[in-house]
Amino acid sequence: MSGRPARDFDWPLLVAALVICGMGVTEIYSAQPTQNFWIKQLITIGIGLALMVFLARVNFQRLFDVVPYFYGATMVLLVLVLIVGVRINGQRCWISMGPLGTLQPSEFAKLGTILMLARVLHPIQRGILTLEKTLVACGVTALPVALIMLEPDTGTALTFFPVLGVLLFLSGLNTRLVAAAIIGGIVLGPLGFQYVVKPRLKQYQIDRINVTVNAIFAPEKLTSREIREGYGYQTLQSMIAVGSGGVTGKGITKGTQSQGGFVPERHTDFIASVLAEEMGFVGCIFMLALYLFIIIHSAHTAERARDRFGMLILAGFVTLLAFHTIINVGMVVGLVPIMGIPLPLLSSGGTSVLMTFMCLGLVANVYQQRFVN
Amino acid sequence: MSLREAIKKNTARKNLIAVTNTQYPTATRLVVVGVVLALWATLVTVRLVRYQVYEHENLTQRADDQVQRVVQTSPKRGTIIDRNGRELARSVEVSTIYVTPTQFVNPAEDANKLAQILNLDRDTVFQRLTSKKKFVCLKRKLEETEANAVRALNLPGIQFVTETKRFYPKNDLASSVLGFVNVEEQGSAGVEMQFDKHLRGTPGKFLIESDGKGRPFNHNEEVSEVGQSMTLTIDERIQYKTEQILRNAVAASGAKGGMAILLQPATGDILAMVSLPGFNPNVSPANEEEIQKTRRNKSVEEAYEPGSAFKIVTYSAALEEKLLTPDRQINCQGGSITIAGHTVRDGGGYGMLTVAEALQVSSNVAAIKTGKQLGKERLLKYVERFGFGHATEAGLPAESPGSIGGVNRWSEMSYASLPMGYEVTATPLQVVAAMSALANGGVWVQPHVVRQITSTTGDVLLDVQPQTRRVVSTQTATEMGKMLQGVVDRGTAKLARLSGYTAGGKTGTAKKFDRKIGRYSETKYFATFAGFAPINRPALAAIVVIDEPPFGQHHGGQAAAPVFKQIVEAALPLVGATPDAPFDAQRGNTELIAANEIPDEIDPFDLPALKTANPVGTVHGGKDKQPPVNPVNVSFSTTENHGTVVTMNLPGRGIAMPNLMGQGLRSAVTSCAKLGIKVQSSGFGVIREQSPTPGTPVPIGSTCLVKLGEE
Repeated sequence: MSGRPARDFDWPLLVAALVICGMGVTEIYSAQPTQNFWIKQLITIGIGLALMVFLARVNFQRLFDVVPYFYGATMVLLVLVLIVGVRINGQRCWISMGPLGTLQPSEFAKLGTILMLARVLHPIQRGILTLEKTLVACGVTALPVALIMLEPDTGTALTFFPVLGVLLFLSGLNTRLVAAAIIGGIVLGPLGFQYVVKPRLKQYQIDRINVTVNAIFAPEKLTSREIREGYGYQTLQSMIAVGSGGVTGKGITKGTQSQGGFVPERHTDFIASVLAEEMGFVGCIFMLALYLFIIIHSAHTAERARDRFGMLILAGFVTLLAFHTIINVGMVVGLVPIMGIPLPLLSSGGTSVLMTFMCLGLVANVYQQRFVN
Repeated sequence: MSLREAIKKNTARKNLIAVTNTQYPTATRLVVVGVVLALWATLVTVRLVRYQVYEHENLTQRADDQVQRVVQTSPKRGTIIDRNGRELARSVEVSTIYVTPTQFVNPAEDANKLAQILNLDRDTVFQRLTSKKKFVCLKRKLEETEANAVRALNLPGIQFVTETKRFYPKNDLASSVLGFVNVEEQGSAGVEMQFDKHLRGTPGKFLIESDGKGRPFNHNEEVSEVGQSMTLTIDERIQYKTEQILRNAVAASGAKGGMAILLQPATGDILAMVSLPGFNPNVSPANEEEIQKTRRNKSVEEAYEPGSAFKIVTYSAALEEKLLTPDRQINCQGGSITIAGHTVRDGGGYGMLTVAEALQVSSNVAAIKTGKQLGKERLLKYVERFGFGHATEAGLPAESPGSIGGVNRWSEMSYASLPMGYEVTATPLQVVAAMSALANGGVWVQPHVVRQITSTTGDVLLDVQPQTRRVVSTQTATEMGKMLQGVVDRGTAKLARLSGYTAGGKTGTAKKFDRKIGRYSETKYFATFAGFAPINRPALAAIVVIDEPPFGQHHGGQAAAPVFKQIVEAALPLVGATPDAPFDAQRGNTELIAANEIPDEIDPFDLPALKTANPVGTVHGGKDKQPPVNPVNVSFSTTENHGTVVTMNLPGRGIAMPNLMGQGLRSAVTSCAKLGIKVQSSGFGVIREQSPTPGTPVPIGSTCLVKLGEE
């Protein structure tokens, strides 16, 4: 690749990502001041930056060529983790790298799958997507999902479906089919629950569902008995942490709820609770704005992509990022049930940071291509 | 690269390049993305506003609730000092133990140890150590030995919270005036109760923060604010002497109890107030019954029938109304008078007596006839003017207003009884205040026990200004004074005659109303003597009431007058009264010396008498005897609060600073108080530093600074 001038680089994207990272490191430190998570995070951000710059300059043709190998490598890692992975809380999600920390293959698998799907779906065709292509795409996704379910890590496995759905949709999946599926789901789901599932449930199971619904829609109504029994405890604690932050927050390292360990998974999945408690409403809105900027900027870049391959990669990334953000933030504010999905760039977690920076590099790459034509 | 591969690659590249954006409707699909994101952002923002703005206070409360446990700590009450600045009550810091139950690894074993040290029930301790609560009080206000023993265990779940405890360095002294405090450090009697809101201060807070697993990670102490200090009108030395003399007298006679009050007539200052049997305010009362039985200040809380002592009101009224003069003759009718079928008798079959003589012998007939002459309403007017029927508001709680009935309610018999002090009830304080009004030239001054309340910074917040009112003219008061002197010199109260001073007063002997039998007892009496001295320039008014003196020795002149004499003789030099009568040859100035041997806290050289122009003569009493010590380097200085202060360096009279190191604050204060040294402390635990150092010669009354630290 001929050298592209530095001024063409996607600076706004980089700045937004780095500001989020900065807030993240601050809050990771604040949530776990005695641990070195924040140092690890800083180091991975450094490596991530290098990867981003590298991928921003890589030739897409070369990328297109290595995609199958990359996908294959991530699948090998997913198999490997089932064999040599470290077991934490009954899950084998991490491969120990000795002093280098741990690696989470499922994060790389997300990128590998996006790339592979883009490669499979990129050729243009007229009309509706062929069944053959659809099946291949589904297969490409099903492999990592199955492997991840074996770990088992349902939350991560879930993230593959919206990516698959959006990429199929963009590749010309029959819109009537999509519409029919959505409407069918909306109508049949509740009906099925009401008449098929519910009669078979025992009273305590119904209670539990009610509590879960309460925890999502009206957490302040939870009784202390329900909290003691564990349902909605995390949602409630997150709500208390967020709410007690108020408009301007309690200040960095001043959050009693996160410091006191009331907020669960405070440096990873619930890092946004910590941020909300310590930086308040103002900090939350600022953070949301940064995420929205990255998502919309990436989507906009995808729209301008010179080729369908790049467009699909970016679309996959946008979907992934949006899904993570929607679910994680939704979880923190009690709109979505608790599932183990981190907030990219903000949550502590090396592999997730590396993967996200790699995606950002690809966005920057496409962003620069527009100056070439 | 094979040809086949090259073709493949080329095809792929072609595909890449052939794409243009116009071929598929990405713009529409981007709008979908945008709409979904906007919807989500809105939902999240709405949630954030709801939590962080609308529910913020509620959720903050919930956050604090699950993190913090707040314990209110008792504030440090202000000190109470006597009129000369001597400490009567102070608060010391003590430890209270709280436990965080999650921290006990082996609660069963720890409960055994703690129960033994703290002298608590083992099961109770175990319950508290295994409680589901985050922060539990184990024992309040520990003794220092207990606290140290628990500290030595070095258990992780133990939290010491600093609280305060009231400490009365002189134990029983002035207890009926001071009152006492309950475990919450609230005043429960005396000035501690009456001025509780001044003395109490602001409670502090002990705040412990614990994490989600109940482990404490932070604690914070919001220090309580010290209450305001109070200066009493009480003179500790006079109080001490009064208590001592009255207690001895009561014990010697076998009476049930006794009360005594000393007033300064001109100011209304109560210099001493005693109600026996007293109590030690350092000891918590066992129950309410004990409080009722032993801790009431009967000098103000219980009204009794004063008997003949009340005749001073009758005669003052008659003199004031010019119905009588001291030498007018009254026919005592052979010592008996019949009213409404009841016959009232005198102590003797008196015939014609002058008014003064009638008072001297306490003729009931004369009093009844005088009362008749005055008429109901005029008599009642003077009764009220002298302060009967209304609480004096002397600064003590639960004060009884006494009872004077109502004119209409009085039967003829009741009305006849009033001039001689029956059918009227009054507190000893009301009686002595009435006597004091005569001593003060006819002006009644509200008696009061509190002189000043000062803030912690020394600003005077309350400077008690007693009410005054003229009740009789100066002339009447002077005439009454002479008549009352006659009672002491020639009448029923000869045993009250003082050595070195003139005195006047009136005895009273009243049958107790026995509620059990519903009428006056024939054997139980209140013996009263109220009087003042010296006659011309009265420095003291005093009342002594003996409750149930032994029958046969039950007359005011027998039971109360000698006690009055002892107390007033001891007190007069201390208030700087100039002797105006010959001293008793045998006694000389022994009484005065006795006043100087108060064993506690008392600084014998800081006598107010020394503050007069001729200290040697006054102190000494006996005109040609040498003073007991030779003061050198006498210097006079004036301070705002204490008037003239005389500082004397007395040869050989400096004392060596005791060694306080390693002592607890309480024992240090006690031992220093005995030597006349004030203690100012800081810190907590035992004394680690003191200034001046042990052995340093210091003048009495100086202050020792001590720093406390952990052992």
